[in-house]
Amino acid sequence: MNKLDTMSPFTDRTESVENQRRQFALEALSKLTRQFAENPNFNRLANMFLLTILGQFGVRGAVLSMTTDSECPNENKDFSIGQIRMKDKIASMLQSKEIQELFLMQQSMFSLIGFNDSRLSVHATDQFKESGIELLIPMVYGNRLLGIIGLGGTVGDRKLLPTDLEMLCTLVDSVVPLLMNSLLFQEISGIGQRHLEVLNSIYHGIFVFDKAKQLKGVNESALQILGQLQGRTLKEQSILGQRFDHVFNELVFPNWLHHLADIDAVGKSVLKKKLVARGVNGDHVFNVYLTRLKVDSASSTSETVLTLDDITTQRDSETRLIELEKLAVRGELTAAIAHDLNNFIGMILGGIQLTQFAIEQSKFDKAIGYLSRLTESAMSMERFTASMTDSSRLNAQRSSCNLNNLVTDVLNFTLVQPQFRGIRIITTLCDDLPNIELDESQISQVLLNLLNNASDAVNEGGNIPKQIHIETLLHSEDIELIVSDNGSGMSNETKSKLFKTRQTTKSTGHGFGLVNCSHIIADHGGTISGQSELGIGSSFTITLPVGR
Amino acid sequence: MKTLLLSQHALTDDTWIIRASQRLDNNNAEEMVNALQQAHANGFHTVRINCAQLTFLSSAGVGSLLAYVDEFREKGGDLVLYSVSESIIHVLTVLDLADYFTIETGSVQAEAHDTMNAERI
Repeated sequence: MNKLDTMSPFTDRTESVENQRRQFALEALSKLTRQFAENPNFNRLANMFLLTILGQFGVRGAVLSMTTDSECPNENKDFSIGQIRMKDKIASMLQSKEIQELFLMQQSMFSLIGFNDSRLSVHATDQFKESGIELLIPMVYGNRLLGIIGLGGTVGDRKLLPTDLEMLCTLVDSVVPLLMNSLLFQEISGIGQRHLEVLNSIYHGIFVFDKAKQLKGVNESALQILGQLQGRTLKEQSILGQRFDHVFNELVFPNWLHHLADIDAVGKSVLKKKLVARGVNGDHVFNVYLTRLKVDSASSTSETVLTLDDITTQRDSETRLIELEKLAVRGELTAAIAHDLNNFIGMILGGIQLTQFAIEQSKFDKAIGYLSRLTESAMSMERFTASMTDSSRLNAQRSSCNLNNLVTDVLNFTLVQPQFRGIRIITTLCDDLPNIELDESQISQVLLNLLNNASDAVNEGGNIPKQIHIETLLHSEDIELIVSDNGSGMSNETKSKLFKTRQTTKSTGHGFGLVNCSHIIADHGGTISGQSELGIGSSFTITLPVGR
Repeated sequence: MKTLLLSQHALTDDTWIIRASQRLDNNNAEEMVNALQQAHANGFHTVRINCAQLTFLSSAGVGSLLAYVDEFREKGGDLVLYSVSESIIHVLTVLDLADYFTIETGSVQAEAHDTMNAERI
């Protein structure tokens, strides 16, 4: 001891020793602060704090318990070091309302409670004694009790002097804010980590560029997109810091910079473009969304967020679907045309048979009549095929006709066909049916279609005898032509699809005709409808206006 | 900069040797605690800490030693600091702990114990 060194008036130590102890405490605090600045890990800070207290004040052990008011997660609640018995029990006791209310009542920043304080219950006192705790120090932040430190007794014969206690409380008060801020850092890191996890779970590629247009952040999908286009695996570190025009270079992203240059206003605005990128394995189509975000309300600088949605597969599927649709339409058209041609062929074949029969019976006048009708059918067929190259298929050539005569002519040519053998044909034609303006060929086509459908229905199964009934009726403003059969009838599902494309119940696939029929009748200003009942039969009614 | 403990190894079935580096402070105090905890858990009753290279000891470093002294003494052993320099003794004196720790200052006696192959950490 230096002879000149004086004794401290408060302790049995010299002034220089006291000063050196304070110096150590100051250095300890400095180290804790530096540790917090370098790595604000709460657990590590709490453990180091307790070790510092042990070494600085020579106590056997220490326990730190954070209260629920500190919003501390459970894994950060309790710490202990050294010779403290029943550590878990003590930590649990320090969480008790009794202890916490005691400190809150104290209303002081650093109150110390000894064993014999009557405000503590006997039970709690005994528990602390048994564990080795001799001091309880509150950790107060603002008006909140954040935690409690429990200290064991001093080692050897030492005692904590008043200057030690003062130094201890100063140390605790200085470190509490560091502990609180490390908890905050932990929470913010957790939030940041959760946000990162959310970003990385998003299917779209997200790129964030700073105000200098340098890449400052990407999510995993963005890395995958770039890697896929370049044919290699990319790591985040390899592209961060690159400029916008380097990330979206002209080679892989042709004209992207030009298209995306539209968004140059400051403030939040969104631009959406569909752009193509050239990858090593082919072109990819993206929906590109560009958003400008202000960094802060006072600043005019902004960050740019670019989102890529790879719609290549979707576009390919749409393209394929369109092609299939075209094929289907083409197929449907072909089938519809074939169907109509079959009707004409059927009439012509029927006419040829009648002509043959007339010649065999030397009824030459009749034969000439039949040949004339055959010629008209052939010409109708010619007009029909010619209309295939004309956009307006329904190129009606109307003339004044009698519907009853048309029905008779069609029946004559049709009924000789094999499918009508064995079918009883009944006609109920209205007398004094006026002539109306109609395209004879087209209405013949419709009637032929209905007759063929009826014959198919009765031949596929139905009632005996097989029967088709053709009827004409005159009303005040229109004429009805009804074709009904006693065939198998149609289900409700089939009825609901009548006059719609690609609807057929026939194995021969001739359901297309009703669509053409409806077009023809509609073109004549009329209507066509169908009724049916399973097991009973079907009936189709054409209504044509009088006076056209 | 984190400074590690230099080495540690078993001297006998009962005694464990730890060789401290230049500094025992906030950077490696936890490591010392873990080393002492491990030695205690492995059944060693005495730990001898070679302080020949130790020139700096912080409060947290002292705390890391203090945390386990009683543990070893209760088992009939001890935590011994040997080849301790004057500066380290001064720190312990200021903190009123020089009489509490078992300190050996003689280097010959200390080195005689530390002859086994060191197990580098």
